[in-house]
Amino acid sequence: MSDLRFVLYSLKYRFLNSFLSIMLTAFGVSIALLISQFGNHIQNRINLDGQGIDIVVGAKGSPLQLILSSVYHIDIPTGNIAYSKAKKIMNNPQIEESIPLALGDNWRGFRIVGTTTNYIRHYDMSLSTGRYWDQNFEVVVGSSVNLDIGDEFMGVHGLLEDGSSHEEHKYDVVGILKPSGTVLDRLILTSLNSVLDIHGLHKVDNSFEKNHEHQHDHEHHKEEHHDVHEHDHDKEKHKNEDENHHKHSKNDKETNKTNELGSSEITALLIKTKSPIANINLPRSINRESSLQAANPALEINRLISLFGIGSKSFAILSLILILIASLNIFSGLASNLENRMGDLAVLRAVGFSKKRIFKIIVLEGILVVLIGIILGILIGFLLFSILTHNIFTLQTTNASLIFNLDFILIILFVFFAGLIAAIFPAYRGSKISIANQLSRTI
Amino acid sequence: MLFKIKNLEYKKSNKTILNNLNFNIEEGKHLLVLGSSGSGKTSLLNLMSGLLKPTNGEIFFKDHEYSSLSEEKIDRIRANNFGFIFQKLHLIGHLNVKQNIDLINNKNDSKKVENLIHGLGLTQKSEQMVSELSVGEAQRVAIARGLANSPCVIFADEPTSSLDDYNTQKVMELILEQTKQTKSTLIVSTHDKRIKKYFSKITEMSL
Repeated sequence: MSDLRFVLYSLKYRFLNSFLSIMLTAFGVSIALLISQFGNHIQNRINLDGQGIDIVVGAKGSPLQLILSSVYHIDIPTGNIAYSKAKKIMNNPQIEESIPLALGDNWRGFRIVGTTTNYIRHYDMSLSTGRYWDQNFEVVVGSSVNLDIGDEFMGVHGLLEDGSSHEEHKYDVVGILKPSGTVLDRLILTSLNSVLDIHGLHKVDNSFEKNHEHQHDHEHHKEEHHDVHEHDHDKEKHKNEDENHHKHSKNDKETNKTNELGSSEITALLIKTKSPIANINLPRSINRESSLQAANPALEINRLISLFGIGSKSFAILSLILILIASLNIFSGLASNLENRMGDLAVLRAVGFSKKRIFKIIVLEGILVVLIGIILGILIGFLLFSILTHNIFTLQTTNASLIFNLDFILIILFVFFAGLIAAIFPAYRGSKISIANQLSRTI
Repeated sequence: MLFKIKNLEYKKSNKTILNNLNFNIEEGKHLLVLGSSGSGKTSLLNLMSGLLKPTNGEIFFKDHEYSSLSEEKIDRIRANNFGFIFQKLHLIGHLNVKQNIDLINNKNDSKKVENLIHGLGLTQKSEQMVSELSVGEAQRVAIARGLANSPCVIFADEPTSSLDDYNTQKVMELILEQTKQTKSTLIVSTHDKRIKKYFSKITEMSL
């Protein structure tokens, strides 16, 4: 009889014990895999969504809330800020890129974000179909949003699904973005003015959106007259300013009609600075401004991670504990079973089974348990991952997917070797039994 | 010469179990080691089969002296040459009748196993778990297992001590019949004087 068959008969005979060891290993593996996969997913999301955003400027309040609401779109904004004040910051020479965001509405939980196409370019995104918005109330939707080109919908006020509808305005889908794994996948993007208009606020100059380098609109122009020395303009910018000034004059009549509207407001400003030193200096100077706050996403997210213990170390420790429990179970299963099998092992040794062969048989038993446990654990992990990603909206919209990364391989190897080590001690003890003593004890 | 025992001495916990034992066994001849409990007869069997190491003296099996052999070589000698029938049978609980016999069949001779099962009247029980067998059936399985590797020496420790006269005769006839077929040497240790009649060579041991 082959040793493998002998071990299989043994496992079958003590089915309940084997089954429990296998299931405990399987759950250890599946939970470790899930923790690792979701940990990686969160880390990837944090990295991808926060890529290239050095500072976020918004209303005073919790800096973490500002980051979560503006960068990751998972919290309620701290409030709005005057567009005129945001414009001042946008023109700071230390800034390489700034993206205004206006939040306030949603469609079936997907946030409607008034912004500029720079927001899309920031994430290196492109359209899978359609075009970018030209007119107000035209939208480009992320790949996870269940809307098609030509679809019309009404925004719901607030960031929750059960708000009141903006029935006076319908949005029109003109473009769909390619899937990117970033926050944009689950956003509905439109022009800044669409969001301002729908909330009865002054519109801003669209030229800002079309050419970021020439971002001098009416609001900014007004601001310039009040505070000329605050900005460092080159000749070209002055030219544009003049052009915009003329443009503004032509539109004066139209502007007068909307005198009853509130002044333009945005929710936040995403900023990419030109140098790391600006990441330190700029927030300081902005935070001195009483009504604005500047927050550093990297700093706040690190704080969040350390607060909630979702750092990679916590994941690793939790996974380690689970795997150790599974290994201890294999060990206790084999060790307790060994006590009952001493007589059998003595018989095997008596009839010529070598110490090495006895060692091999017991280790093989442990390895079989751990291997079946690992395979089952991977399958359970896949199944749970699939169930969770299909049923949890956030995971669904953030395109959480299983990745065969180094962590995955390390978990499998770690469980395997932990199981192997757990089997080695009983195997060593089993191989060293005194045959004559065992036989005379039980004879 | 199959076995040559020279000046054999065995001590356990400073107590002398065997002292200056000398005898030979030729191939095909049987030996009965007769003695009361604690006289050292099981120790002698264990020493002869290489399960124990002597304190002094030499044990030769087919001119191989055990102390000059590695543990693995002694394991191989046991696997290829010896068969064991234990007093309490020691059948492996998680295997059925056929698997228990096949376990010792290291020559993968399935016909041999089938013949043993048939010869010992276990055909109907071959797929049954050993825990479900009667004492008599289990004893036959233990005998079949002792013969499965076609051993040239069969060690039987107290094979009849718990049996009545009728079953003692049956078991001894069964074992001797099998040894006749396989031309093997039977070495039995017992305190049961009823089986003296089956042996021409008897070593009596006393405390």
